[in-house]
Amino acid sequence: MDEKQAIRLCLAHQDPIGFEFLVKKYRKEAYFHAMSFMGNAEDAADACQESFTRAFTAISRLTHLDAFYPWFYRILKNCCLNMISKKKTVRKHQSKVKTDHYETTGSEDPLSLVEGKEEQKQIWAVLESLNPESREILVMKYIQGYCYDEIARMLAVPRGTVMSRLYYARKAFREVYLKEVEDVAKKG
Amino acid sequence: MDACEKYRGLLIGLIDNELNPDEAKQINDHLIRCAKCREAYEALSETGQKIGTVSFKEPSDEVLERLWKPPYSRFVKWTGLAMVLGGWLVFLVMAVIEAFRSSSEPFITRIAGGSLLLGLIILLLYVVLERVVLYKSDPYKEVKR
Repeated sequence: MDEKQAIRLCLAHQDPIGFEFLVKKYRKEAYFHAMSFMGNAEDAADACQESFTRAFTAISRLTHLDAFYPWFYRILKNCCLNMISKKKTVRKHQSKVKTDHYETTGSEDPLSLVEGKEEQKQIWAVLESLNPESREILVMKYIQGYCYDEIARMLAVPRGTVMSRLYYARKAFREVYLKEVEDVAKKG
Repeated sequence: MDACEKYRGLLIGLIDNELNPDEAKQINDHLIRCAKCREAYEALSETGQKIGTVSFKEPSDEVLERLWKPPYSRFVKWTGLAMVLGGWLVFLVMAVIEAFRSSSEPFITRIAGGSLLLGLIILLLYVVLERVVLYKSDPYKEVKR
């Protein structure tokens, strides 16, 4: 089965097998996106569960759908933002960076690994201190590796808007990052 | 508006190597003339690469399995319940109609059957009404159960 067949099964026959195929295909991607909004694994899993349930209910009412994930992403994003505002945990994790949701990449040398880990921690702290829109677009582009056209499709905005948002997000990241580095240098 | 404003998106596009030849030419021409944008290009290139050095921790299979629970069991439960109740209700209505139509049935049987059906309808309406009132005034309806 491919994505088009799965969508057709969902739309024309309300067949749950089609939906299960789509869930299996995109669940990891959805989980990472939810992580970038929620900042911790537990809330990210809750947001995904809720969004898949909403999508399952909503998909049978659609008459046409080209691609599943850009449509689902809007449900997921709304769900995450609602959860954040409801639970008032917007930046609960801002002051205390959780270390259970990221991995570091790069050198295997023990000393540089320790230094690298500190830097990765700092990068996550900076990302988490940005507003959700900036974090969302930075994660999509630089961590998940989407191209501009894919991001534009998912956010339902023109490609030019993606570039402009990336500019401001990257600028905001740089400002906070340099300040963090300066603070660490002063303490050290 | 700042004259460089319209080149900001292209600047990022150039860093990310996502521009088409026309766009790349536009921004390169601008960079030759504008020292401020050249400075921004250097600065953003330097810190931007750092973001790509982190990644999310891979979720375990158990975590991924938990992300979707098909609601079939709920569907099966409610279908079963609706069929059982519906079946009984049809039998009851038929029995009452039969009792009223048949002249051989004693009057007391007809009254008993009628009151059984009427009582069932009243109880059903009462339960529905109670649920609606409770839902409207429930202060915990936002809480997940």
